[in-house]
Amino acid sequence: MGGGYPYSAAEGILAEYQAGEMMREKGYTVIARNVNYPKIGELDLVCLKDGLLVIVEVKYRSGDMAGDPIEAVTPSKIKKLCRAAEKFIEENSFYDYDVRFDVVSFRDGVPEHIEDAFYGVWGV
Amino acid sequence: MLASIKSYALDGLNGYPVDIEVDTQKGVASFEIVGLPSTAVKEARNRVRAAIRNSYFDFTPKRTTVNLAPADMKKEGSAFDFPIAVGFLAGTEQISAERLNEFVMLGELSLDGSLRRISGVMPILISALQKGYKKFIIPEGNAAEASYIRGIEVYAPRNLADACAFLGGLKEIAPVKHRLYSSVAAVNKYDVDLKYVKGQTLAKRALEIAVSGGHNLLMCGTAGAGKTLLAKCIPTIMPDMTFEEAIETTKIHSVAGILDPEEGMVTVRPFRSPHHTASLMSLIGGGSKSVCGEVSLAHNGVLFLDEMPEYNKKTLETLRQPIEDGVVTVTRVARSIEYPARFMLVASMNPCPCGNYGSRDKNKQCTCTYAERKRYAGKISGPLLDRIDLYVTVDGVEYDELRSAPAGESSADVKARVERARAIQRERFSEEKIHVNAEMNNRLIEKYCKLDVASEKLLEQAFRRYSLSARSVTRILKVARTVADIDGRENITVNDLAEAIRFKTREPGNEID
Repeated sequence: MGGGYPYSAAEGILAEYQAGEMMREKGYTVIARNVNYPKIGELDLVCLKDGLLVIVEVKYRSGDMAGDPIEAVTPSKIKKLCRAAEKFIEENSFYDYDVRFDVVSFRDGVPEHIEDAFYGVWGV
Repeated sequence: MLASIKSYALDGLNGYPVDIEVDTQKGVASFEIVGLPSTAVKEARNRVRAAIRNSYFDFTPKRTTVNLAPADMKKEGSAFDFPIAVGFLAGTEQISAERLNEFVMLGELSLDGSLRRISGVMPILISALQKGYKKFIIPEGNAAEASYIRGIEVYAPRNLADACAFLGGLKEIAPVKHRLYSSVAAVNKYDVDLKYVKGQTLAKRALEIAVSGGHNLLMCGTAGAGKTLLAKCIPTIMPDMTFEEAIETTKIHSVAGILDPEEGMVTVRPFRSPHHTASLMSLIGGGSKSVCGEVSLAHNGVLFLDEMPEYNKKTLETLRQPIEDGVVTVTRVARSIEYPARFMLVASMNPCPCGNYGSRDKNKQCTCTYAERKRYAGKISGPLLDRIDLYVTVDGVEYDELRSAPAGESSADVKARVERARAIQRERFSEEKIHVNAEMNNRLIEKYCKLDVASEKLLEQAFRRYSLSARSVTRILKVARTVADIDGRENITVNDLAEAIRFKTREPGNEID
């Protein structure tokens, strides 16, 4: 986990749960959690709203030391998320959807929802 | 959905059409640009995204692929931002695609959605017009340079939102008004004048001959004698540029991105004086992008090399070919581009390293040895000196001359004579492809530089006495032709020839012996 910051598995699970609740409150339907494709990547939350498939990456940090949690979404992480998203779309036939990447970042336990946080990268 | 927008790119001074295809599909949100984009073109993705959002459009998450066709030409610059953004908006059905095909679009986007000025608009418009494109949308900042071109309809919106409203028929934008070149050409914009140069009668005469016939000039003189001041006066006595010449020069300056945004046109002859540390590439042009160099920026104007022996010898030698041919072909692995480089070379140098050799002042005696002087003069090679038509020694002026002499002829007076001499040349060469005497080839020299018996004899004597090269002789003949033209004489007289020989043969190397 990112550089040994004070972190516990329990806190992580709690954060993912809270993020899901937040999305639900905003009118999204959570259709999957913790989708794990070994060697490809992992999707924290997958939501649906108005014909839009939203892949949510949950980032958790405590304290300011670690910088903004969004910074932890690196290009290599983005590539993994893209591949995992493609796999998810394929397995569940979501071909006819626009796909957006969101980030829910927790800073000292306060969640923030960043819509359309980044764009996918192909090739590279 | 697929949208296709017409745009234009530059290869040297010639434009070629680029089709920008923007495909927006459902799927994992991404934005890819293909078709051999350079880094600046790839970065368009970030500018386009911000500009679209800040223009209150939706940058909806789509799997977007942008193709720049033809895909085998390397695309440079930021002029595709605007057409890519329009393509995206059309692809996502935020604007109507109906009128898109009518226009060629160019422009860089600022993050706030406004259109920024780009370089190279003038040559693009000219080559697009030749291919039959008539309607353009370009940034507001480029409107001035577009306004001189007849026969096209140019719209210059301020920002992306305005452009889209115009394309959708929601807002009218008036096309850019056509401007006449003659309205801007005749204004005097110089802050030097020959009348402020005291004394120096001989040098002024050399200047006049050089400018009248487009000949190359080397001024040699002690430090502070006024060489640089004289050189700076050259543009003031040069004839006004014709519209064609102005277009040629503007094209180059537009590509180089040094065009005045207000003026939009180069209306005064360029005077380029690169510092003597100038590198070979900066002078001739080159680099991986094959950009143009100082010789091309000086096209139709003056290339002034102050303190000529201080330049890198190799750099100087590269000037030999453009001086002769008037074009530079910059060849790199990726591409080969021909830039026009018809300039008048004006150079200045000191007679020796300490700068005092030959000074009339008793207190300023030269301290250099013979060998030092020889070495200094030798820094300019023979072949290069051979290409210079006029050598003139610029002596320091006496105090009386400096303070009391009546103001000499003004630049305007000299210019009138130059214009007259040029008019004669224009008429003479109306059937040929050249403008001035300096550009005559051997066939034309044969035809227009006929000598009488006395002149022939003088030339023969000079040939033997100074061991002239064949090229030197042709250059002398050309200068003699110009001297005759200044006085409006049909035939070259002995005096004309004598003056030409005199200016040609007093070169710095000769003086020292």
